[in-house]
Amino acid sequence: MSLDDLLPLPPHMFYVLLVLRRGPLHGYGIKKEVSTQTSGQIDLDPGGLYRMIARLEGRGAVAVAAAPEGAPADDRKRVFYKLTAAGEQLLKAEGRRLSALVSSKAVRDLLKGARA
Amino acid sequence: MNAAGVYSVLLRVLPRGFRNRYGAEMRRMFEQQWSEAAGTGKLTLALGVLRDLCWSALVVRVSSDYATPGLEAAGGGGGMFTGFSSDIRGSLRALARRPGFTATAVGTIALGIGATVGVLTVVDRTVLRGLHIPDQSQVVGLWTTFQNQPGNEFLLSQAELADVRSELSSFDRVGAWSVGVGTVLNAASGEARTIEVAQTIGDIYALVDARTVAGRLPGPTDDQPGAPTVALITHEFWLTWYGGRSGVIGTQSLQIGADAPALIIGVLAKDITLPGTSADVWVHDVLEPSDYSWGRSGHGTTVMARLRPGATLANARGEIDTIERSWAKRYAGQHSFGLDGHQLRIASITERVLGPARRIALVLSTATLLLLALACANVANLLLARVETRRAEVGVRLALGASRLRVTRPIWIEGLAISLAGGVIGIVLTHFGLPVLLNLAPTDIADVDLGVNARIIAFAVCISVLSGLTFTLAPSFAAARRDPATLLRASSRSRTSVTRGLRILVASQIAFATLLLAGAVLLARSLYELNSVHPGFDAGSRITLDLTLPTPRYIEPERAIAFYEALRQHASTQPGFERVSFIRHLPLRDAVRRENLLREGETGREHALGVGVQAVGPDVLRTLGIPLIAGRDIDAGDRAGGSHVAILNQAAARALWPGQSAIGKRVRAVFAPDEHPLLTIVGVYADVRSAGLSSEPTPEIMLPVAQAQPWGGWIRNLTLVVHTSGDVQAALGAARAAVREVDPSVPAENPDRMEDIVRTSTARERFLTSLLSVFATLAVAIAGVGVFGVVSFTVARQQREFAIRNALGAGRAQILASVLRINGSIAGAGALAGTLLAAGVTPWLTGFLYNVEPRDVLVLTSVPLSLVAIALISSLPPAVRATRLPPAHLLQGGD
Repeated sequence: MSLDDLLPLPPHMFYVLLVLRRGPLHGYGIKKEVSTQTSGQIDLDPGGLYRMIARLEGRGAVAVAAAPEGAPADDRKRVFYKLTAAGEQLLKAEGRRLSALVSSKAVRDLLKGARA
Repeated sequence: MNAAGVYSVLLRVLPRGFRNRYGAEMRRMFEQQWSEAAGTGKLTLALGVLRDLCWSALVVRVSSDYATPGLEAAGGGGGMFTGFSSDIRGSLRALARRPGFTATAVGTIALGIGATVGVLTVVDRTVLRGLHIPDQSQVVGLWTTFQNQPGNEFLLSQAELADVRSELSSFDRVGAWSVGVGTVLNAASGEARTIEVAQTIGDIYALVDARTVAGRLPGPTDDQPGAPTVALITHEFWLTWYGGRSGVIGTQSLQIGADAPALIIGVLAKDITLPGTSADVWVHDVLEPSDYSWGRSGHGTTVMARLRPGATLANARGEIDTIERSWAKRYAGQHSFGLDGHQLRIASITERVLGPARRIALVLSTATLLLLALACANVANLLLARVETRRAEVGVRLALGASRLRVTRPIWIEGLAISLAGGVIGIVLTHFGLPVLLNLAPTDIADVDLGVNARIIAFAVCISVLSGLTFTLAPSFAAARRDPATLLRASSRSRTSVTRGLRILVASQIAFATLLLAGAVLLARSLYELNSVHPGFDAGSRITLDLTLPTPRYIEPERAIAFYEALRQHASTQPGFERVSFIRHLPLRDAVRRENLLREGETGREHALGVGVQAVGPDVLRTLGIPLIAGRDIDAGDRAGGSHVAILNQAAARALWPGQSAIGKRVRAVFAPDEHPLLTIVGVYADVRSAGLSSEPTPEIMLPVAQAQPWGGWIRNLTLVVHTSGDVQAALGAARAAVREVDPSVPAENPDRMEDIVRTSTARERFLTSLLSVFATLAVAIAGVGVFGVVSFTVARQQREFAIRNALGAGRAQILASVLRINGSIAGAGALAGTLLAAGVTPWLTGFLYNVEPRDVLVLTSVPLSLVAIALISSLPPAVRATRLPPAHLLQGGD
């Protein structure tokens, strides 16, 4: 299974990778960050989130990490995930795709309200 | 248990690998979410969690995204369908490579499913549908019995019906009908037809939920004295006789009995029937005291009633018991319930109409499902044998980290392929085989429409899949339960529990087959005996035609007699007609009228002899080929005004005047009007088996039609009998033409050959025999396959042992002999068990057996021996195959 299979990234997966870029998080932390980033629009369930993590982990896009410095005591028992280099590549690839999409003439015209 | 605990339990829906790796974190995440949620938020969270887990459980198993080595190592992940198509190809190829195995497995399942679908189709159509009666659980049927005629059932007389209506308070609705015949005449074409008429009385319309598609139902106005006789016609009759035309309402073309033609006031909706009859017309009848003031016998009325709300069957029975006593007192000296062992009986209408059929259906269904279970067990066995031979391959794959699912998947695919293929073939077999089987069925079963429809096919597919899953279960467990090391070791230690289980399986299959085969053979012998019975008359070259003289033209007996004489004279001139005569109740087809006879000078019922009474035309004995024992036949000289004569059969003559000649003696017909003169016996004829080939002949008397004036109604229906010397088919046509030439308004129906009538009289027995034979054949086939499968399996297991024995000097023949010996003893045990079972069960068949003992020694020894022989023959191919393999090959433990 290669990482390219995952492109284009579904929005949930994009945001999960995005928040992980800032640093390792555990499951609930990912959920909270993603919710904040999307103003509550994306609300991850445990099953859905960990399925996503399984797929990403299987492809080497994320990996288990140690708890970061400064994490609260009871958080230390939990499993943290971090973005790997390959995962960062994947995220960038998606970012570039989205950027190209948004800059395309068709989408610009759409957002201006003009007819394409 | 708190919410987190519940969540942990729910996590178990996820596959183990995924659960082991992520389950703990998922639970922690849930705990945090739960503590943050409040009030209705918790409810939303709970529902969301359920949905999330269910969906995840499915996705993780199916999608190949989760079939990573990491998850697999943790003990199972996803990827249920990864490599699915290659597995399908592989399995189908494997099945194709072993055509013998595949054909056997598919064939076995096809037989099992075919039988199941067939039987359950019949059961569904005949007994599960129920009756079209509202409040069915509250509706009951009434009938009567006589203590001196055990096993026979009778209807009610009109006087008895009147009593039930007026005096039993357990019912709030009582309806009844009696069946008779009438005629219809198509004025335009001159075509006449006999119709079956139900005279309906009381609340019957509401009881059977009768509705009309045209016209109206009878109402209170039709009950008024002087109102015209009204009738309803059934939907089917309206379509066939009236061509579905409108304008039928208000016409008067139905002639029933002596009165004016009935007025048609309505056409019944489709599928409205009176349970147990197939009447074309319902004539509305009002029960008046004058109808039954002449006497309380004449049991021709079928009665249905609805229990009052709150009343139970037990209440009604209790009430009947009480009132019977008061009736007995009131009607002392006459015929009544409670007197002379005459009882009024009551049962739920469902039990009355469907009861016997449902019991048969239950037995058939059980037998079939048992057959299917045995077929599945067999195929499981065959698959087990194959798994055994692939032990090494499976061991290697497991050792390399393949999940059990992946390892057993090919087995599941093979199993499902076999079961679906078997199911399709089974459906096809049923579709074509069922009508063939039903061709032999007695008409009351064969009438049912039995096309295989979508529902049945869906059902067959379901049981195919279920069977497939059932018989794949055991082999797949066997394959995957063991750890790789055991599989790779070419172990030949036989697991005694599995072997014993298989031996019991084979033995029970053989026992079942023995039982069914014994039953089938008994019935077949009985049928053979029955067909060899001489009916007492000569059926060859005889044809029959039923005549129904219409009223009002033939209301007067003299006119009927004149018609018959004219017909006889006319028919006698037809080329090829050797002899022509008439008979009222055709032997082996019609029930004879029963009456009482007294010798001259005797009085008192205790001396009366119950006899069957026939009205016959001249020369009837020679026409039917009945031997004359003494005296003479009825002839043309016996007519009105002459001396009144009759002839007796031997049974009657012996009963009335044992050891003497009956010729010249005289009897009094108790059933004749008082002024009727005595009958002089002028002849004695040989006994005829009128009631059936298996029934002993009973006393009978024959009266000449020409002297039957007091019974005008009785002689309006006679059967013309012709002894032809030419082509029978042509003779039937000529007979009908002859009737038309004498009077075209007389319906001449049911043209038949006497030989066919004799054959049809054993239709029930033939059907039963065929049915049981089919089952027995299936059971034997399945038992044979079973033996084959088990031997294949055990032989595959013992490959190494055989190799060792061979290397130690045991010849091939010796190994073969030991295999056969073991199987022979298993088969023998099974056959013995089956024989003992048969000896216990076959006495139930006594009612169906003619001249054959249910515990016939010949049958009970030859059947088990044959099955042991079949078992030995079935075990030959796999045993021979094992001994053919060279020793070195066996020692290596490969395949």
